Amino acid sequence: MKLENLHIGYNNNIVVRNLNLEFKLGHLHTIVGINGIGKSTLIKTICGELQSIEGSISIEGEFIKNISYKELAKQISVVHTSREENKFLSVYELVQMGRYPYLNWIGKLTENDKQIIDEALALFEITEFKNQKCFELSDGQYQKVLIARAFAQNTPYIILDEPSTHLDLHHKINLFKILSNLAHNYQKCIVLSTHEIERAIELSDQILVLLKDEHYFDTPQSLIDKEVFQRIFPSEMVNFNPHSKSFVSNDIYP
Amino acid sequence: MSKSQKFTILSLLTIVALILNLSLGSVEIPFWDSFKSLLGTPLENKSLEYILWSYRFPKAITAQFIGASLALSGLLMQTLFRNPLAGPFVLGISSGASLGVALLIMGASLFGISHVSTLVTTLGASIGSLLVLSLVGTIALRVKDSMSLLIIGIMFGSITAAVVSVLSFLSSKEELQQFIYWSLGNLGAVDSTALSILVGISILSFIVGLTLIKPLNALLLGESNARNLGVSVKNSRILIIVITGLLTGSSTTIVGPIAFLGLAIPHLCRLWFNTVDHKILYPASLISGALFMLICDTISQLPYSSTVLPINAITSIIGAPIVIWLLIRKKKMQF
Repeated sequence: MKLENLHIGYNNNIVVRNLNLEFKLGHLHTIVGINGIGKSTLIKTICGELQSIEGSISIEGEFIKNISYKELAKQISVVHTSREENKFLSVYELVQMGRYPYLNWIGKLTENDKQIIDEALALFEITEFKNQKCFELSDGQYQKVLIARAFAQNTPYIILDEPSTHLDLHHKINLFKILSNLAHNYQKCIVLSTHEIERAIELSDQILVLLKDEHYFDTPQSLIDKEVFQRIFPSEMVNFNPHSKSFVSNDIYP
Repeated sequence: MSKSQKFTILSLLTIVALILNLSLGSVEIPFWDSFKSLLGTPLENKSLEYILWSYRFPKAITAQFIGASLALSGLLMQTLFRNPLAGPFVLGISSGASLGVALLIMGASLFGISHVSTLVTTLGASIGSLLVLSLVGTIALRVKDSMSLLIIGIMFGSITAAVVSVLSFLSSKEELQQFIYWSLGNLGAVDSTALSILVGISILSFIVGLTLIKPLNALLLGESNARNLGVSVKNSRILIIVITGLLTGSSTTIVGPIAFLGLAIPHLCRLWFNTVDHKILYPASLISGALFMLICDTISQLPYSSTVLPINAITSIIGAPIVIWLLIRKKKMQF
């Protein structure tokens, strides 16, 4: 997926300028940056919900704005944080919806579809919950169900908007492991936005750091070498330690 | 109990309710006679046969189609607006029908017309509901999210209600009475033309509506997720509004604004079938709506007496306690 000369934002109010980069299959890409810097705007633009102001996004040479909803649904699956889903769906019903782009008008599942759904349930270790309603699950389990749904959609690209938001530390680490597995063993192109910068440094192949008026896209190590992470947050509050690869808060009230 | 068993029970209950509805009324027709007559055996008593086929049968058919139409409209509205309180009336369509009828009945005297026939009220209601429907439809093309559309619908409703209030304040006692009679709902006043229009529109909408089952299920995940699953949210929304408009409009036109049913039946179906899947809820709402309306009509015609109570009141008196009881027992609403 290529982003070329891409300017994004709302109503001609440009948030991020001049993005030129490529998200590759088999790689885990993370987008980080302070709140309001444009992470969600970028995610929405990539998945076709928002028009770009200038420039283009293309998949294998084809501009996504020229691809119909139906075809795009076979290329890109999206996991939102909005939590708008109806919680009375059972786990199986929700995961099964990942097959919608491939099903006929009434939504009849073929044997092949059922196999893919079972594989998704097994991969994310949620088979035992498959008949439970979503409101009965914990946030960690529910997040897995949402990603299993995207996996069942069987698209080369999986985009996730802040998937770690509602999770505790254990589930956050588990989430990154799952995503890294999807990228490296299933040859998916994963793009996610997150505030878990330390986890991102540990497990992503490339990180896109959005700063005010500029951005960097590189491997975690070279971003550390370029001292980019120090500039994400106002330095009087938080500092980045390149040796421990972690953030430390400054004692602002001595 | 499996889902197909539940469907069998619903269908059997509907058949029993139909025969009961045909048998009971101011004149009693024995249960087995109605049953045999339904199967095509002529009755010995010709006057009973006349009552059965030219009055009660059309009324029972009207009841079933209106029940099914309103229940389906309610289901569509609740899913589209992701709001458990939405019903076929939220788009202001029935208010449009009321306004049409009010203008005709209460405005007629301004032109020196003293009496307005049923056919004319039907016409007024259709024009009123179609006008509101096309307005809401045009707005649906421009407004991006369904929540604003819901509020716009409610605003339409209150504007039309206000105009109706002004008209009723200015009109004479007789006109007011005629309008109130219409608004209380009367299944018996349907002539054969109106009935065939209702049946035609309903069947067509039920069939076209089948194509909405998949988009409706996708909408359970929210509009942006539905779009990412390849569903055209805009087209589905327009089709949902048109179908609801036609179903609500044609029902309201004939029997006045029958409240409650469209709101409650989808909830009852969700609770009983324990699912939010539209593949189940779509047929379940149709059958349950028809069944519920038949039962209400049977009660409203007060067996063994010549009085007929307003159907509109009966649906709420019977239906509301059922919903309250189910919610208290199950403690959680499936929405």
